[in-house]
Amino acid sequence: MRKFAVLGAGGFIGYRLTEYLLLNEVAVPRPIVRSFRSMARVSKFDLDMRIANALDVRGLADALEGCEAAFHCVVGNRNTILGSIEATYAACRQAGVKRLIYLSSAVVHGHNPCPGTDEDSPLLKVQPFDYNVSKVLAEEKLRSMMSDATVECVILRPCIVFGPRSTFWSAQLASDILAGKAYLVDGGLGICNTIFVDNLVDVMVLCAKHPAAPGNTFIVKDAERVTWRQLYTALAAAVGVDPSGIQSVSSAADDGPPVLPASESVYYAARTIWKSRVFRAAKELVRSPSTVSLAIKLRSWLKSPETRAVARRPPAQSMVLDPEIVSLQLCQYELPTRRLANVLNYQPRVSFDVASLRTAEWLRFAFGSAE
Amino acid sequence: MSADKGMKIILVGCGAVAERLYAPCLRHLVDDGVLGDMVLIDRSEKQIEKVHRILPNASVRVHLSEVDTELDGSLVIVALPHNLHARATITALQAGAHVLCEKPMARTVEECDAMLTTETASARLLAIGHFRRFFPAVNVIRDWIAEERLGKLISFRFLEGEVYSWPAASASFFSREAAGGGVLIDAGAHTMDLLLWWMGSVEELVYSDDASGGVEANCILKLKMQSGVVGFVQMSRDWPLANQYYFEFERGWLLYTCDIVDSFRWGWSGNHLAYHVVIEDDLGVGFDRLPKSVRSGCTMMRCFERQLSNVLAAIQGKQRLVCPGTEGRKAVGLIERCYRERQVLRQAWLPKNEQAKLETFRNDEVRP
Repeated sequence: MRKFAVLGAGGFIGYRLTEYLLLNEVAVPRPIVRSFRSMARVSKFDLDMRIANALDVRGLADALEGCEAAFHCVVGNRNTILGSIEATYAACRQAGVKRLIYLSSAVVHGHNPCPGTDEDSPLLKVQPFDYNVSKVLAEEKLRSMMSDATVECVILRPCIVFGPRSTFWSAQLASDILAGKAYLVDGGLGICNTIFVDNLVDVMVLCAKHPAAPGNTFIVKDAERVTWRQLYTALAAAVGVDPSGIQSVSSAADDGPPVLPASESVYYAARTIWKSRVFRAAKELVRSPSTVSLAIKLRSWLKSPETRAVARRPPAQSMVLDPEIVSLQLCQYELPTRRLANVLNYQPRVSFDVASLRTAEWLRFAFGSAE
Repeated sequence: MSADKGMKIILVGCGAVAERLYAPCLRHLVDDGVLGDMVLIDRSEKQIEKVHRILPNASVRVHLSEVDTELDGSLVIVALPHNLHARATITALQAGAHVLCEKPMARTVEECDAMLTTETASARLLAIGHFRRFFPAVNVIRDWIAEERLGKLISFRFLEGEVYSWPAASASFFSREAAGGGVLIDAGAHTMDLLLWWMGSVEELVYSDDASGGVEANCILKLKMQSGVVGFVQMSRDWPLANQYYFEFERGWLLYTCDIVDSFRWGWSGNHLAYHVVIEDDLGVGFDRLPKSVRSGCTMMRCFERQLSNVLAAIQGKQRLVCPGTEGRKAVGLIERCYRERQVLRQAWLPKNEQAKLETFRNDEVRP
């Protein structure tokens, strides 16, 4: 059976991909993780797991030896995002890996893409969020390297990836809902552009095998047009909370700050906050392979006077707005998946409703209430 | 300072537990003149260097056999991968050393029995590193259960888990051959020890985990104790759980947060008030042996030091071992029983075909 390498196999998506490959007998997964401690999750399977630094070409090349395809699911700060894609491409070339599937992000188009945005739209290099810019730069780097055509590359742009083991878009949101800290912007009518993790790994595997995939970039999302309210409602149901109790905040400009279109004002608010050193450090933390507890710690960081001063009129005394979440919730555009359908003939297999039920099952387990 | 001044300490294995816990404690005891010579043993130069930085006066060896002649009367601390616990302990006991073996005592009851037989024959002491027994809160909870302060214990619910963050120096924790299992035999060895220490023997259990050819990252254990108490334990090393132990008594409840050494909460049933207990007493375990610098307050590190002090005092015949080998064997016995009766953990969030596939891994397990 063919061997597929999964870089970042200890993380949310990398782990699910590894599990999927094995349990569906698609290929023999070769998990690649960065340290012994990262082996904990994947070691439930008897696999040829390797330890390699995602920035070390030689180490990666050894780990990739004999693999037909490699999936890049490495997370980290800007240095890791940029350094690892460069090292991975070089290592694939060195190890003779035929195809590389790179997990980019739909945030390369910003949080609220202009109507008409698709895979060919120019990427937004100027954004207030470092992660987004890093992903843009990483794609550019990969494109410049793949011009030598030694490794077939596919770039995937998922947006809000949720499902079992999703720290942020499932567990943390559910925790916030339980704790009464969750909020919806403008009633949660913004477009969420969700992708259930199982649908995402379906696409990843398809991209590793399909002859028409190489050289393409695909936006990946669920079949349905899902709003933020729908996502929050599903998570609230999972943890037994009445979703009508989730607070709503308005993006409309109020007294004081300059009147700007909603998304623009949030942009400036976010940019101002971003300049805060404290906030930047906290964001770096949350982008590391974070846990729920780490995310909770981040929330306490955000309660600092420095950040609270920037958030505009919180609706409740205890409400602390995360500029990234606010910005994401203002999205008014449903990203298109025409290319995925046309080139790979792909339709998402798991509906949002089923995905929500599966996520709920996992949340019950993760919160210690599965008996 | 005492009769054991000059007692040689031989630390076998310089992995994460040696570096993070044993070495700093030993350093304290050396600084306070409690201990004499020290030897560090490990095959990894890198690891031994890390520990040597903390214990710069210690001599360094690669293998236990290099100190054959120095073992008699010394204290050997076995901090090796689980599969080497029995062998190293038996070698040390046979050569006349006392042994403090890290938890779990071994991978199997069979190995434990071989260790205990050697201990008896050698007339030396074998202690097991279940250092949570030195937490003041853990001791008070034990008393409250035994004394029925809140009435008879009815049930308990333990949720313990985190994303694995222990700075493991090797892959041994993730190999069934080396570790004997996953989260249950690793962090769970402490939990099983406390469970048995607090509540006595287990009558019935239903155990499930998610090992699928490897070692489990998650497990669920449902128990009925011989006392009639029923319980639920969930452990994880890939997901943060509440890290709390909840006890329900006839007339009240008690909530203990894992690794908080000196406090817990409790309340009466039907009453909205909750009480926070902070324990300041030292328990008297090895207190006379503790250096002045650690006598105020209580931290996890200090509990670890108390464990070492207890072992040293027991060697001198001044105290009873808080966790002798016979106790370590009980935890291994329960873990072994769980693995023997293992069922596949229900993972209802997976598609049906994948859940079915998980069932096929059941018979692929290898017990050491």
